[in-house]
Amino acid sequence: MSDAGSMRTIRDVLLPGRAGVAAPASGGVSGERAVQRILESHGRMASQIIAILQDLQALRQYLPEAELRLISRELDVPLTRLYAIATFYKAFRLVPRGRHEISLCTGTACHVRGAMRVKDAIEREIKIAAGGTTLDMRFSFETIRCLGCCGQAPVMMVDGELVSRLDHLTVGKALEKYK
Amino acid sequence: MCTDTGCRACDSANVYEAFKREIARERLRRVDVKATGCHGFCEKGALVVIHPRTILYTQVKPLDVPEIVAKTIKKGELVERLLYLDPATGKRVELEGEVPYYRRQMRLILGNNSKIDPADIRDYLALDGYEALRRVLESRKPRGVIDTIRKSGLRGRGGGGFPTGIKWETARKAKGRKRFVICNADEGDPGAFMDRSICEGNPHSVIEGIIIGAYAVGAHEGFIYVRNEYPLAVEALTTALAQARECGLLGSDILGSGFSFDISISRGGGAFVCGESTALMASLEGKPGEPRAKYVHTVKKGLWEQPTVLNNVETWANVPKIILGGPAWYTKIGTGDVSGSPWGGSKGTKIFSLVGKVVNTGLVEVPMGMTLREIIFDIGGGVPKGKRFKAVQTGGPSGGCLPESLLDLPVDFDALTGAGSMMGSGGMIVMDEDTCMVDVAKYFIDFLKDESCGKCLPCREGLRALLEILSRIVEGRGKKGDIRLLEEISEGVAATSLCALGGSAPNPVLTTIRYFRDEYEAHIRRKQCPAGVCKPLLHFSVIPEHCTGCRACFKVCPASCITGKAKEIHVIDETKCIRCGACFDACRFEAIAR
Amino acid sequence: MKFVLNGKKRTAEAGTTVLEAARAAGIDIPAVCAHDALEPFGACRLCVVEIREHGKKRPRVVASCLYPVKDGIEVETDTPRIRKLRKFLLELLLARSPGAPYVRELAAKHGVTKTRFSKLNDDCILCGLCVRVCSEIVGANAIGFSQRGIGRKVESPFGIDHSRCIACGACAYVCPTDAIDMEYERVIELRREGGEHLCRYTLMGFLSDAVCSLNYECFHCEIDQKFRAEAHTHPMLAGKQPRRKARA
Repeated sequence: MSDAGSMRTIRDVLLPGRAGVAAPASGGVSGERAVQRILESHGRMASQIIAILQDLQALRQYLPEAELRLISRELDVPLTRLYAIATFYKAFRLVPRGRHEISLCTGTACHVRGAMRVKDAIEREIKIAAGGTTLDMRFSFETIRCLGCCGQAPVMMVDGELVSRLDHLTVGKALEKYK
Repeated sequence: MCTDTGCRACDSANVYEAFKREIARERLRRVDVKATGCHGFCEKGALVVIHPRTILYTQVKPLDVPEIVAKTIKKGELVERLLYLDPATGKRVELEGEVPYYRRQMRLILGNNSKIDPADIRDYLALDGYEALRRVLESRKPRGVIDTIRKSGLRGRGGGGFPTGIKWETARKAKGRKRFVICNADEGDPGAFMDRSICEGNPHSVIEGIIIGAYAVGAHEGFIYVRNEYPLAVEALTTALAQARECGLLGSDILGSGFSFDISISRGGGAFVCGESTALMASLEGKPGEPRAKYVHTVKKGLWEQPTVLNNVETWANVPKIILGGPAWYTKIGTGDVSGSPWGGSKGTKIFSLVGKVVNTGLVEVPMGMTLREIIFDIGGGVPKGKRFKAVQTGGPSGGCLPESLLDLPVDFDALTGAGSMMGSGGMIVMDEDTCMVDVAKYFIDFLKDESCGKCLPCREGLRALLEILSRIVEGRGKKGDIRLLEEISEGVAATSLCALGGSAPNPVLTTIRYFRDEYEAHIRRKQCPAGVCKPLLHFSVIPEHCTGCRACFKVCPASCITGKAKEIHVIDETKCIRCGACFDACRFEAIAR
Repeated sequence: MKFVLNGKKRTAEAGTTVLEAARAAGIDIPAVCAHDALEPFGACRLCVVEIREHGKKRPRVVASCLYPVKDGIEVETDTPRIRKLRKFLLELLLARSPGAPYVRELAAKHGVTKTRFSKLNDDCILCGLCVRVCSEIVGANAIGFSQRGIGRKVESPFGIDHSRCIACGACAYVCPTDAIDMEYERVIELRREGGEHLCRYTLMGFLSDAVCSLNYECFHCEIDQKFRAEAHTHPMLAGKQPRRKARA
């Protein structure tokens, strides 16, 4: 079973549409039908709201307001609860992000091995502060706590691919290929 | 070969592909390459083990593969340069089991990682997989299972250390319409990745444990709550669950026993607080992850107000081993005496993620009771680059930093607590002389402030206050009385917070004050950072006597604040200096002062 | 349930919280986020007391609004430790909302007149009374919490969506620091909206199909005055039974 096809990267797992892996047959239908399909796949259960929002975000790359309202109506869940969930959990975004997403790990092991210097270097390289998106929408940069690759600290993830053993002197070059 | 997330960051996916191609090209029919989970020696990734001899190759790159196939696989010859070089002896080590890093470990839980392909249940079955479950179901004695677990002294591996047998007993007796079992795979402690490696490398060991536990307490529905940041773990578990169902190990009438049980996977949304049991349950119920008071325990009223057993990944993975080996065998490993009560000792092994300033970073599994010194120096190889050891941080943000004088403390549930820290879930971060302990305290408070759910006043506002004071100190604006104030706030936050996030948040601050007070005082009184970390307190300047004018610093300076011609003494303009330290790193003549 | 409260033996029914039992016995415990008509919340932590559980050696600090009375517990509501913790909490609260008279008065009552921490100047103390009233009693769910940690705040979805608000004003009524002005904002919106201009008391469910003829200038309106006079509290809260009282 593991031999079937080449190694899948994190990118394939997170963004089936983007990576070209077989997406559901009706990828590309109108917004509402896609949302309904997501709701159906979770049994229309309000307790599944987090998973539903994760699927919606995987599809749209963020959580559009109109579709949140639709979900609120369909599941009979107050919009305040959806909004509370969307703003409580860091995985969710209410605004679209850049084409390339850089997530720098600032977990303890990475911190101790110089992640803050790498952060400064990245900020200088793409000219925005962590948490933001460049004006040309090319890059979004955020810091996250712990990707679990502490043995190769410092680590960052760009578009789902891991780049390890970073160094504040060489990280700029690592980002060249995304420019 | 290891294709766990960590080794993938060392290009192991491409090494795997290279092997497949090479084997196909050379038409070697009796050779196969298996993609396995974490082998534990992460510093030397990508790792490849050639069976049956168990030759270990380290730091393998895709370009090395043709040579490995041509020499080792076809002719049985070694590729010397890829063998592990033992710094103590200066010699290359051939076999996996002889590598000092592995030799001192007892890899009960992680050991099978290098032998199985997590995406193929047959590998797990071949190593006595689900045999424990079969025995349990055949015995028809759920209470017997609880008794076995209780006698073994198994205690929760997630950090709480609560005796698992007692937890299951209470859940079984509790009143409720339904019972639930949950696996907490929301491994949020930064620096810890034990659970990730178990889930990715041997998911069935966890699943088997959960099914056994569900049978013991009478639950028919189970959940594995995985952090959002672990997509490969989610995938490995999903595949494993599907295969287990196909084999009749999950679903209705498991193995013909009449017991029905199934597990679903829930992903976190990116919140450290959801590792706390009540917050996790709130998240499972489709709400924000706000903890609630545990005046009535979750074993009695947990998920949907029903009796719920929540255990950590590593705890579940220990269950099948205990069933197969028996409590008598298990109690021989570890410390203390559990014949009267499971609280009396720490039995079994514990997996630690040994990371930070240590030579051999990776996952280490040892019997409980081994000392910090043995783990960090004998297995970990000590601190690299000849630097001095300063502290080891254990227990994640709920734990504390312990100094060199306490390195001979045994690591188990109870010994570290007296010193102000805790074993926690197993994160062990080594720090050296270049680590500023005040900065470390600030780091943890900053982390906790971001992760606080914000519901209760002491945690939300108290962490803000702590961070402000720590920030002032690292910026050189510390005042007399700041340490006293930090301690006072810490006491208040710890006593009145709603949950353990706030309750244990002060630990990193209190332990660093306790053991590294001199560093705080240097920052506050003398406006100095002895470790050379806190930028506002650093001053970079060129030492004229050592400067050779080689221009190395000039070339790397991002702020263009260094002036000077070739072969002439350079000068740093402090007004433009951003204190990034690039010049200090680049200079080979020790001509930059900090 | 038999237990000891500040040295005296007491009894209470099962399901009573320590706070309820204390209040029934006439003991004053500050509790900002607690309200008779609402489920206990446990956010302000000011109601902390020391409890020694049956058989245990050391006392625990717990939030009395949530802790259920159990057989054999010993409760102390005013020990030196509790007083110190309360002062600490009030000092934090004062740093958050130094401008709110309610906070200043409560702090002063317990001996806290200044704070060593930097000021946030946010009148909202995040007690959650408004959110809980709107959710538990009114059922409109027009406002809720968003964000987490220090960024936590009370707002309507996306910060601007008041559409579910029925302008009952219950949130403004329960807010201890007058941090909510929803009634006024929402009423302005109601004036601007087209349509029937239903009376607010119809929106709240007290009258059927009454239409507002005063352009929502409720303070001039007899209906509003009648409802307020009849209830001793906000009309939406009047119908709700208080939680069971303890027999002390």
